[in-house]
Amino acid sequence: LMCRSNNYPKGFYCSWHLPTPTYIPNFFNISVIHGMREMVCEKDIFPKNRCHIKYLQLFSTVKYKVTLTVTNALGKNSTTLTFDEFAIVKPDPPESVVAKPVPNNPRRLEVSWQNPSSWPDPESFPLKFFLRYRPLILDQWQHVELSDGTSHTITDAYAGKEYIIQVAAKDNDIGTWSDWSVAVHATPWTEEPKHLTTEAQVTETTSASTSSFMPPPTTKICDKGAVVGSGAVAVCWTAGLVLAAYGVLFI
Amino acid sequence: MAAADSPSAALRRRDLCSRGIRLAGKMRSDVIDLLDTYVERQGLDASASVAAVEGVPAAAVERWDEQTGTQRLLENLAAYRAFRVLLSQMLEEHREQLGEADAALGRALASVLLQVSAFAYHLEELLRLESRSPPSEEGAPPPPAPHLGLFERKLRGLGVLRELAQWAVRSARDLRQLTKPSLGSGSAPSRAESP
Repeated sequence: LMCRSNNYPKGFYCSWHLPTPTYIPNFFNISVIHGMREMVCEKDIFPKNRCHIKYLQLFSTVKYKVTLTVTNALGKNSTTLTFDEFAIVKPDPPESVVAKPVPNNPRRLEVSWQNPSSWPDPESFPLKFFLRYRPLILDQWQHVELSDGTSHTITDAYAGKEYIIQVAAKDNDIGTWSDWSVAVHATPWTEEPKHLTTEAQVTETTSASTSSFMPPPTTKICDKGAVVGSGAVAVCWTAGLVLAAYGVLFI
Repeated sequence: MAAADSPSAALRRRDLCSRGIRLAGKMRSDVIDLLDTYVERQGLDASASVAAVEGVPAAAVERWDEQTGTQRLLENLAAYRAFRVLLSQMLEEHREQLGEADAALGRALASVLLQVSAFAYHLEELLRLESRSPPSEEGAPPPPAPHLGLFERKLRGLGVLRELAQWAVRSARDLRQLTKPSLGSGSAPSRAESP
């Protein structure tokens, strides 16, 4: 038996299941007592093992007492849960989490999300958020707690590494953290590597066949087929001509 | 109510509400710490149920979302004025009982009492901004502390602090409601907003 409020301050729900199947029909009866008052727990059509209660009072110090009784042809058993109004408040995870690279910023990722749609009044009952992120290649998470807003810019990402990011939510004042949101992946912006143009690549190929000169393996001037800007093309031309000149010298 | 609706009054209200929310948050945090200390020093069980204590304002409220701004302020002010008296009584009893033997608990009680007084003043300012004079405290003296045995006094103190912790949460929520543009001091929210 568990009870939770994911739509505070409207109400809470209780759900249950049998730890082991009985293979015979079972009938469940739930009672909710608050102080001297018995409250109605309206059963959900689906799932069948759940019911919800509307709060009649807020900010009460009186505990709620929920008793679930299961009866079948062989007997009955019951279990009781007692809790404070605030203790069971646990929002659903944030929704629509999006992470995007920031152009021209190789160490930044922009993350945004929305309040869970089940949270009825985020203006009066604001949520705070916990964001965690790590590069896929590492196990350790970085954490950031955010007391307002539904976006955050990560500024210490490792350049070129794919990240996994999740967000959790909690009422600003009471209750516990939600489960983590669906994970999103993003890689920070990277500058495209420079490469030689087609003519420069032909010249380099010709000179390579007639001389033994080869550029050192660590020197990667241009990549065949890479998309480059105009400035990078000029550099490729120059590099190609220099290589060709050296090649001729050594023939 | 024209003065209450002027842009400067609205800004002042917003500023007072924001500061009040922060004050309520700090107060709650300190009250929770004080509760832990109180339970430990008084040898109580933290999970002990305490029946409704006479004279302690209950934070529990029905149809909370239907209250007007003025109702919220008045109920809050009445509560914190009562807590001011109750905490003063607790502090005096503590000094009589323990003297300097437990200075830390005494200091924590005094600190919370100060915050409660400050919050009450804050609420009075908000009420003045709504062109309402805060209800006068003069006239009837505060009710004397009931004659209780030592254990009953400890339980009563536990009830006072627990209820104060709830009020601190409720106050922050109340002040947030006041900052909503649709809610003036005298207007109630629409039925559609009710749970």
